[in-house]
Amino acid sequence: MSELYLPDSMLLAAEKPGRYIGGELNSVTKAPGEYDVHMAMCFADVYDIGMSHLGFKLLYHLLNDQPGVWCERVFAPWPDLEDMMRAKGYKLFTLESQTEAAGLDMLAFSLQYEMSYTNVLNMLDLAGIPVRASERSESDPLIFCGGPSANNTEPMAEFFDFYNLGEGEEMLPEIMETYRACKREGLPKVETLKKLARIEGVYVPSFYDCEYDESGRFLSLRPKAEYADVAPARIRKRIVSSFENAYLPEKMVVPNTEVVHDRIMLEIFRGCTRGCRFCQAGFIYRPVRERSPERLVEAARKLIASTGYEEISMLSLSTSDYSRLGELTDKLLEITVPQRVSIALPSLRLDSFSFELMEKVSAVRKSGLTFAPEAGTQRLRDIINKGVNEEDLLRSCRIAFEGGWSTVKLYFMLGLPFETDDDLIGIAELAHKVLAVYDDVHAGRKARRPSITVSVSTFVPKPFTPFQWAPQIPVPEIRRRQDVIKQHLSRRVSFSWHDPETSVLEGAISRGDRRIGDVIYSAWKAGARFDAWQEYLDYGRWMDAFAANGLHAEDFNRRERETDEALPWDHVDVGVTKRFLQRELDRAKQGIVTPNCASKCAGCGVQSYGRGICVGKIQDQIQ
Amino acid sequence: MEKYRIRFSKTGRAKYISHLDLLKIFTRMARRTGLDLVYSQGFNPHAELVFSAPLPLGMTSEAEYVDMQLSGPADTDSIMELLRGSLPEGIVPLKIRHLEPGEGNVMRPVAFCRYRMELSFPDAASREIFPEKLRRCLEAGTPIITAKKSKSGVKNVDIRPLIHSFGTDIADIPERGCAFTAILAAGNEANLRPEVALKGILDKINGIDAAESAETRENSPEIMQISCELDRVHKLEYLDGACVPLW
Repeated sequence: MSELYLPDSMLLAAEKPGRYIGGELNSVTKAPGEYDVHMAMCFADVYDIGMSHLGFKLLYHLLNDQPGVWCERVFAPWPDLEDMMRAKGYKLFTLESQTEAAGLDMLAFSLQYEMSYTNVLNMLDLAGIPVRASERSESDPLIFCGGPSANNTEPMAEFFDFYNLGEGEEMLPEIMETYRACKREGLPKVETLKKLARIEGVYVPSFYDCEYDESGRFLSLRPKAEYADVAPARIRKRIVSSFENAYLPEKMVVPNTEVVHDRIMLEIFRGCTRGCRFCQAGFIYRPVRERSPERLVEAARKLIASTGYEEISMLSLSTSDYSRLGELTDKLLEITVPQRVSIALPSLRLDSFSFELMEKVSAVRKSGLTFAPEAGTQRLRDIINKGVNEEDLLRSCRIAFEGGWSTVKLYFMLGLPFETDDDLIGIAELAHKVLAVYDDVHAGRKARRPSITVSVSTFVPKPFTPFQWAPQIPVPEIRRRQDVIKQHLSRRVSFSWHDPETSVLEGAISRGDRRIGDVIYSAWKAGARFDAWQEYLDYGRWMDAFAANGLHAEDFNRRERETDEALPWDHVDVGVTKRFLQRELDRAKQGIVTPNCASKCAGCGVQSYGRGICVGKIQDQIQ
Repeated sequence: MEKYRIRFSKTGRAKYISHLDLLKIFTRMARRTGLDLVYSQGFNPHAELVFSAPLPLGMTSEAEYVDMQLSGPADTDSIMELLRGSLPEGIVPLKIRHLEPGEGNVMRPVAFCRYRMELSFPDAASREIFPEKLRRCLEAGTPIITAKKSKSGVKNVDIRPLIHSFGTDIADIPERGCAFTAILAAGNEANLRPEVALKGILDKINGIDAAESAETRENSPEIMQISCELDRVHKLEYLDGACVPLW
C-alpha cells in the first residue's frame, strides 16, 4: 500500500478527505516495468464532480488498457485543502501513486465546461508547471485536452500543447502509440508535437497564427509557414469506426466517498436526431449511432458484477429516441430485479413518454418526473426546434398523476433568441396548467401536495449551433426576465434559476478567440478558481481581467455576428457545415421546424462520415 | 435466514472512509460477490447490516465488526474468500463466525476498548519527563476533570473512572516520540475518546484544572509544561466488563 502524499494533519483538517486518497475498487495501479508512459487524466474540478463523468472514467480505463501506459487520475483540490497545500509547499498529486503530477509524461484534461478553465491554470500552477505552453521546458509533461468545450479550441490555446478533437476512444490509442514511439526515440517536444499533428483530429495551437483587423475583430487562423507540412488548415473531428464495437469498460472505479452521479452509466447511443437549435451536444456528437440491447445488457451484467452498484442509468441525449428502448428495458430488468438494482431513465421526452416503461422500472424505486419543454410558447419552441407541444406534455402529466406520481420538474431556458415577455409568461402558464391537471386528477379526494418545480437556466449561445451568431442578453435583462416569470408564477410552484453572471461569462468565453486566454490568465492571477461554483465566482474580477487586456466581454457575448464573418472555431470541422447552421438560423427566424433526422435528412453535412443513421445503420455492428 | 459476524480492519487510506460510506461499500461488495443479503421491508429497502460503533475519521482499527444477514446458510471460509479482494484498499476481513439465534448486538458486552496511541513531542524535555509525570498522575487516583459540552451547556466531568489503564507500556519511537496502549471505557454505558483522555491528563499534569479558576493556574508557574501531539490512534480490541477481549 502506498503512503498518502499529504500528511494526516492536513487531510483531517480538510472537508471530505475521502476525495484525496485513491485506492478505490477497480482503480488501476501498475508496477515499474509494466509501463513506459506515465500519464494522468485530469479533471478541472473537485473529485465528486469529475468522478461523475462517464467519459472521464471510460477513457481512464481505456488508457490503462493501452500497452505500456499507466494512467492515473488528478482532480482539483477543494480550496480549503489547496490553501493548506500551498502554505506548506505541497504540489498537485495523483490519486493512485500519490506522487507529484509534474513528474508524469503527460496530463490529459477533460474539458467539460468553460467555467472550469481557471482551474486548469490553477492545477498546472499547483503542480509547479508553467501554465503557458510556451513557457514550459522539455522536462515538463505534455499537457493536452479533449471534451465538448475543447471544440472551440482558442480560449485555452495558450495553455495546451495539443488538442484531441473528436471521440477519445478512436484517437487516444493512436496518440499514445505515437507518443510512446517519440519517447523511446527521445524526441524533443516540438518534434513529438509534429508527429502528433499528423494524426487526424489532433490540433497543435502553437503551429498556428491568428490575425485580427484594426478594430480587433478576428480574421483568420492559419498554420505557420514552417509547420504547413504537418499542420492541417482544418482539423476534422474523429469518430469511432463502430459505436457498437467501441470500447466499453467491464470495470469502473467505485468511489469510496459520495459523488454526484454514483451509479453505472450505460451509454445507449451517441448523438441526437432532434437538432434543437440551442443545443451544442446535438450538433457536435452527430451522427446518431446506437448500441444494441445485447451489447448493453452484457455490459450491464459485467459492470454490476465488477462494481456492485445499486443503480443503472441509461445515458444519452434523449433516452426515448433509442429505437429499441422497450426491449432494452425488459432485458435489463431480467438481470437487475433479482439483484436489487434499479434503473433510471433520464431525459425521457414527453412526446414519446412511455408510462408503461416508467411503471416497469419503478417496480424497484419510484422517483420524480422531469420534462424539458425549454420554452413557454409553441412559437418559441418552433424557433428553437424543440418538437414538443403542450397537449403532449399535459397528457403525459395526467397519466403520471393518475399513476401516483406527484413530483414534476419542468426545465426551461431564458434569453433564447427572439424571446418576448409573452414567452416568459407562457412558462408560468404552462406550470399552472400542469397544476390544474393534478387538481383535476385528484378532484374531490384528499391528495398529497404536488411538488411542481420550474427550473429556468439562462441560454448561452454556443459554437457549432445555429445560434452561434446570436447575441446574448446582458445581466440586468436576465434579471428582469427572471422577475417576469417569478411575478406570474403561483406560490404552489417552486422556482429555481441560474446566476446570470455565470451565464454571461460562460457566453464570453465559449465564443472567444485566442485573446480570451489572456483574460483567463489575468482572472486566474487575480485569484479566480472554481468559477463554476457560485460561492467562488467573482464577476468584478473577471470584468477587470477583460479591461486589463483591452478587451470587452460584450464583443464576445453581446455582439451579433455577421453570418459571413470568420469565426474563431472555423478551423475545427465537426462534420456539420456552416452553411447548414446558417440555413437553420434562417428557419428559426421564420419559425420553421426542421424534421428529426430519423424521419428526413436535413443535410447537415455529417453524412460525410458515412456512419450511423446517415447511412441507415443506426447500429453499426462490424461482423 | 442466517447471521454472520465479521471482524475487519480499517487501516491506511481507508481511515478516511466515513462510517456512512461503509454501509454502501458493504452492500456493493455483497452484490459483486453474489452474497445474498437480506433486505429490510418497506418503501426504501436497505441491506440488513449492523456495524459496531462508528470509527472516528482518521483513526485506524483492527476491531471493526459487521453483522450480516444472509438469506441462507453459507460456508464461512467461502464468505471470507469472497470478501477478500472485493473491498477497497485498507479494509480487510480478519475473521468470521456464524451467530446463534438470540446473540445480541456486537456492542452489548463491550465495556472497554484498547487503543494504541502515538505521541510526538516538540521538545526533548517534554518527552523525557512525560512517562514519569503520567505514572504519578494516574497513581494519585484524584479526579481528572475535563470540560464536556452538552446541550445544557459546559459541564465538568471526572474522567478518571473511565480510564482503566493508560500508557503503562510506553515504548520509544526514535526521532518522533513514543507509543503506548490505553484501555478506556467504551460502549453504550460510558465512552471516553482517546484524545479527550490525553487532553485531560495533560491538563492535569500541566496544572491546568478545568475545575479551578484561571488565577490558581497562574499561581503555579514553576511547573514545567509538557506539550505533545497525538499523531495516531489505532483501535486494537474491545474488552468486556471483566477485561476479556472480545472475539
